[in-house]
Amino acid sequence: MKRLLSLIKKEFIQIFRDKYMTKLIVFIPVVMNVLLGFATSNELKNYSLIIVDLDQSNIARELILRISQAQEFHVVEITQDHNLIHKKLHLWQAKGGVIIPKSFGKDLLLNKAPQLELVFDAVDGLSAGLASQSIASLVNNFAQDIEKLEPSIKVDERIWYNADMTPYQYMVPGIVAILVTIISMLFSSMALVKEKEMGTLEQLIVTPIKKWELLAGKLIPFLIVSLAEFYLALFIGQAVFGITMQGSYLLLTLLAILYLFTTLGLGVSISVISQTQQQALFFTWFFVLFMSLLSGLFFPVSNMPDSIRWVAMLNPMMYFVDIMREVFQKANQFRYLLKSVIPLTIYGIFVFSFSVIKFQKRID
Amino acid sequence: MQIINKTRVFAIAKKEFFHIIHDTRSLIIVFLLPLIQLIMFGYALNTEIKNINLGISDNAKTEQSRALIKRFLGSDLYHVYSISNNSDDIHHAFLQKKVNAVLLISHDMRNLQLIIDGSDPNSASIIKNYISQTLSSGQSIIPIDIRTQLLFNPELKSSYFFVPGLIALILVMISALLTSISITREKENGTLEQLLVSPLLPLEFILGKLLPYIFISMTIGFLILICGLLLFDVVFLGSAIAFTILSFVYVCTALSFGLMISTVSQTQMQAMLIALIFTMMPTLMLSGFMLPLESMPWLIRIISWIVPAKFYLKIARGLMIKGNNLTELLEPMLFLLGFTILLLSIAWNKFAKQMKELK
Repeated sequence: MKRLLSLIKKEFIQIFRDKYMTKLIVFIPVVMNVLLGFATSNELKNYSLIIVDLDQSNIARELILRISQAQEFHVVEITQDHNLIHKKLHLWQAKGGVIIPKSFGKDLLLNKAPQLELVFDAVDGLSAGLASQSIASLVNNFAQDIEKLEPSIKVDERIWYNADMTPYQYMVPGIVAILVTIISMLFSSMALVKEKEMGTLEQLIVTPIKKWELLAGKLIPFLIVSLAEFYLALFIGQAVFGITMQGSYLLLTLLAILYLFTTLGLGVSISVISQTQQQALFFTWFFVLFMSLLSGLFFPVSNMPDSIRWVAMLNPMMYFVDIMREVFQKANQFRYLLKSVIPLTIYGIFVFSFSVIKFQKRID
Repeated sequence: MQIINKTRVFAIAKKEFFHIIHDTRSLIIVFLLPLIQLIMFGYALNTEIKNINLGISDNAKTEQSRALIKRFLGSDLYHVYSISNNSDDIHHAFLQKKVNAVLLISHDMRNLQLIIDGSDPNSASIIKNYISQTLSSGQSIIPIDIRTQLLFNPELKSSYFFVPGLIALILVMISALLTSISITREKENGTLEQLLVSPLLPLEFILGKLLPYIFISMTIGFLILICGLLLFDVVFLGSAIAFTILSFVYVCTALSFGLMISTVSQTQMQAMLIALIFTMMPTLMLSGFMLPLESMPWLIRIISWIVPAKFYLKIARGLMIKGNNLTELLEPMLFLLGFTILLLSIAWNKFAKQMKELK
């Protein structure tokens, strides 16, 4: 026990001696929270439009006014030149165009259903789709106002769990998950390989330290550092965006430790199979990128094709992101979390024991 | 001002090149991982919502309400579940993730209530749009006939959007990571001091380090472009020469950024952490890789002007999908050139200072 404690102490000294790294660990959650929290809304806003008004009637002008007053759109130019739309779209100066045909106003008053032509830059298909739907409903409302029609059905829309539709509550738990993954994997993947490279591993082996003590002496400090990062990111996120966690901290902490068994185990495995720090870093880089993009943090996994969804089911981070969000946003009950907790437990046991076995073999 | 000696630069480049070739495992990772990433994410990244689980509580039970429900049943987009009117039941259905949205139809059909799970606001807004579209599609009077034309990507393929973005992401990550680790490795191993006693100039050392990585990164760039074109049927309307020139500039920007990272970090681990965070996150979030920049708050829009990928995305998408030519892409190219020069001079300056301090 004494040996283990002194090993842990040694590892902590080593971690915190690197002042620069310590600063990075504190600084990065701030940057990530601010950038990702603010920058992740797909809400349509300021979509640049060019309007070709061939009608020039009062009704057309009123429609243009409506469009330019909408928050969703930003009218770059109003023109009578039909060809300008393609040119502007080609040169990235506008993203969409509206063509108001001749006698649009007259036809509308006569109830003759005039045509309205919309052109979109569809490279970003999602935005184009949103913009097209948004213009369509704006135009329909406009026509109903002009013709004084009553919409037949009234729809009352409500958003639950996040009434303002702000992305923060959704992103902060995700950011915490990604940071914990990066920190825990980065530290543990360096665990052995650095000692190997520096030649200090041989020195440790000739001491009476047991193999499990050596591994625990490394992993316990990494676990504590990762948990510290976990709380730091969680609190900074809440402070920056003025949101509060809905669920229980105890539950979240226990589940975070469960998740860390997997990431630390993965890190140790990388450390064992790599000969140099460079190799270990490349492996870690791949895993972190793979895990974060397929975690549902940025893109919902349910939208992915089946084959990729199978691959994503192998991704421990997907389950953790899910747990984080459910607990943080909805204070979801444990029984509803089980479908993520069970795979994560299996993962933890499997990956961790694999890494322990590999580690012991390697030391021999 | 001492003059740069070409032989010395090439000597360093050659040494670095052999170092890379020698470590087969790293070499395999460096070439294979970008390809795996492209293939996986090319298929995985999809902004479409494929199915919406919709709970409907029909309290009217009239022909009219059944006709409304039929509209949802008739579409592949929806999985319709029947649900009770009780708010507790609705709550539990949301917590179990059985439904994304719930539609309540009142007794007299006059009022519809739509409740959407807003925990993922981005999906929620898309779901809201789809449902209101389906609801309004049956309205008898269409006052205006709207025709929509989709330019450049009429089939709305996600790959048109993501493949150029993935090239930008993978290139900047791999380039910055490679250079930043390469120099800090020398620092950590203490081999940098050995260079002090040699007649090598700091700039020669930097250029020598960059050369092999320009070569490697460009090769990776072409590799993922070709794979992207073959696997995902993305068009390439622009010229290959323009792509080469502009990608070269982008790679230089990324490598210079890696160089700068190496001057501010002492260990490979620090370099890796900085490279990982400051290339992946801004490229994903602040470049227009997946979310349009103009909808973001002003502060984020200002910050986005220093993200190189923002400019390269315009280049890659412009060349591949829109068929822009070199002159039309002059502005983003000049920005990238500016970044390269700025980053390189900062790195060179810092590096020269550090070398002096070592002496």
